[in-house]
Amino acid sequence: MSNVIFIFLRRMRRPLILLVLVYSVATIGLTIVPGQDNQGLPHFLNFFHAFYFVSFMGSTIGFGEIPYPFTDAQRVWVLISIYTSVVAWLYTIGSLLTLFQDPAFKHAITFQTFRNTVKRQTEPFWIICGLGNIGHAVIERLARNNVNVVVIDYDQYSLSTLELADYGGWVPALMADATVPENLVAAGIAHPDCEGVIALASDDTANLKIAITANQLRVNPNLKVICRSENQEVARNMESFGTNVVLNPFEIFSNHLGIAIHSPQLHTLGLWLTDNGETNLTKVKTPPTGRWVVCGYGQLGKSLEIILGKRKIDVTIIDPAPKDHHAPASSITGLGTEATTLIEANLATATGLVAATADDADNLSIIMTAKELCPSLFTIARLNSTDNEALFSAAKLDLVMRRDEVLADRILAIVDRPLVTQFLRLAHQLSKETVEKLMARIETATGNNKPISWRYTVGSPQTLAFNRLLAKGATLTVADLTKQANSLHRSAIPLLVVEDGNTHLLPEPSDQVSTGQQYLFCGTHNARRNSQWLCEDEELLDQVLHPDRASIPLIQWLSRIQEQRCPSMKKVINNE
Amino acid sequence: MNLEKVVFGFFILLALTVNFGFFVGDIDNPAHHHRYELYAALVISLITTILKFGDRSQMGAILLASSLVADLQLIVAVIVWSSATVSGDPLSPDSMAIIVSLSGGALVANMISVVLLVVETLMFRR
Repeated sequence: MSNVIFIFLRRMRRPLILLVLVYSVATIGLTIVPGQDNQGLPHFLNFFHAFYFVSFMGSTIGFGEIPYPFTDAQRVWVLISIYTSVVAWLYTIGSLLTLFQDPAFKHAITFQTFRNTVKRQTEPFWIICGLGNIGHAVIERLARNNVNVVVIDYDQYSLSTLELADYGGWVPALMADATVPENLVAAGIAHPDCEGVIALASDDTANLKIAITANQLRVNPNLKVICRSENQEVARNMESFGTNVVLNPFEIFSNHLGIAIHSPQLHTLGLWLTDNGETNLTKVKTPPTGRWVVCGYGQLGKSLEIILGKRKIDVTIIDPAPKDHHAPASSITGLGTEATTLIEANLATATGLVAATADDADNLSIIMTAKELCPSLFTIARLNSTDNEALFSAAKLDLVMRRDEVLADRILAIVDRPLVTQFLRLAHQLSKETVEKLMARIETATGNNKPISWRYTVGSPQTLAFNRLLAKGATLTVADLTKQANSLHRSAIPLLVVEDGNTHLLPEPSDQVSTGQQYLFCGTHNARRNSQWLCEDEELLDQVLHPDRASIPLIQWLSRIQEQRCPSMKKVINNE
Repeated sequence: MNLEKVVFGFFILLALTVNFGFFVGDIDNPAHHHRYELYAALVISLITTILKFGDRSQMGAILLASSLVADLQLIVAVIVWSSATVSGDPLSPDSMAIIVSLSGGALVANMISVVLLVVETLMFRR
């Protein structure tokens, strides 16, 4: 708070001194200049009257001459005083207005307001550093899922677009350099409710600096640091500084594509469980297995070659300078925009094509040429600038690789759905049949709508009803957790249990529930609401678990009181 | 030499000297204490206060605080003087004693200001 006041005081020194001088000289003059009373005797104003007169003269040019009409000598002095005091006031007000227009002062005020807003926050929040297209995509997703974010960015223009976009919710923003620790502190890095920092700057070293600062200044021991990095070395450096997740959009996309080619079911399941704004279950067109042609051996080309290679998928590289870019020896020299290169790469026998150059025009041209040669090809293009979005959607590609979307989806998954992320990572262990069975279950459970997922930890304050029941020594099975009061509703599907760091995929209905377990479910909105009620409402839980018991609320209540009174009744529940 | 420093030191010293000039004399004798001197002491003290605005250092904070104390004492002294003479009566020795003792308090605050200024200057030299 001090900064604003100090700047204010410093700037107002001159005008204030001028005002004091003008007022004191005017007052002293009035006490010296002789006046006359009603009888014509000489009369001098005392300091009190003189100061009173000067005070209203300076601001309003007078109410009249007191206590007696002034003599000519007094009027001359008042005349001089009026002009000097008016000039002094104009100067003071002018300085005040200039001060409010001053960029440094304005910044001090916004900085202070921002810092206080963050300081007063009592709910968990995330800090986002860097607000490009990726930042916007991330904020949009997080705001949609009610995650609080604080934004720091260098660029006033980006922040203005944030204001216009109006994502709703709590999104305080500061125009500042996020690599300066002071600014990160203002954004709440040392706030106990700060869940984590997401460094999205396009400059990898800036992200590294943010990661180091976050690591040093955190108060919340579980603070997560998520960094974007497109450089392997910086990424490794970030990891050594306690960065939890380093995101490389090209790697993420290559991995997605690898999974989609290798196990399409898993890929579809992943799409169902991640939020992409759609409400229906979509059967996506899955990329075919077979040989792939990749045009451009840049960052995307390299990670595609490595990751698809690991999954034993053949990749043919086309690059204008394969030797300079250390491309494999079998690479074909060319841009890919002309038919001869594509024919040389045996496009006719390939099943898919990725236009992965850093130039949007080249990518489009590659896709156009390739489609003319073989129309059935599965086409993927890398979109580098969002300005060309319309062109790419008009080209009717099967898949578009957008850096911002790839990163934003991933960040949302890490921030808001840690268990879903974990589930999808572990789901590789499941057999193809199990995944298919699970998908069929989800489809029937949700009636072809997109499932939503939720989680809770048994033993936390949210699961009051379960806690009480377990404290009484009763047994609870996974099937009980998904029971419904109204059988018309479709039930929830338990996906994952985490207990003491051990994970267990797709728990059986007969598995026992114990305190400290964290559960992940998916299902409809109704199922989620039901699950919520079941967690909180002891009566409902009782009714669901023992449908044959007294159903009249009064008798139920009385019997529950009875149970609480006599300890011997506890056994009854145990045995049931 | 810095003109700003000269002005700063000048006003701090002047605040002390004028205040002292008003203070010396018999405590209850109105003939020994002139009203213009008290007025000048107040105005100079106010200007000194404004000059001390905006320094974030510890020394700056204490300098500003001592000035504010002097202002407060002198303003109370002026109010006492005005209220004692507002009916046109001459100043009574009792009121004079109050006013002079108040200005004595302001004198101590001004002395501390000057001492701090000298200490800061010496530290700067070293």
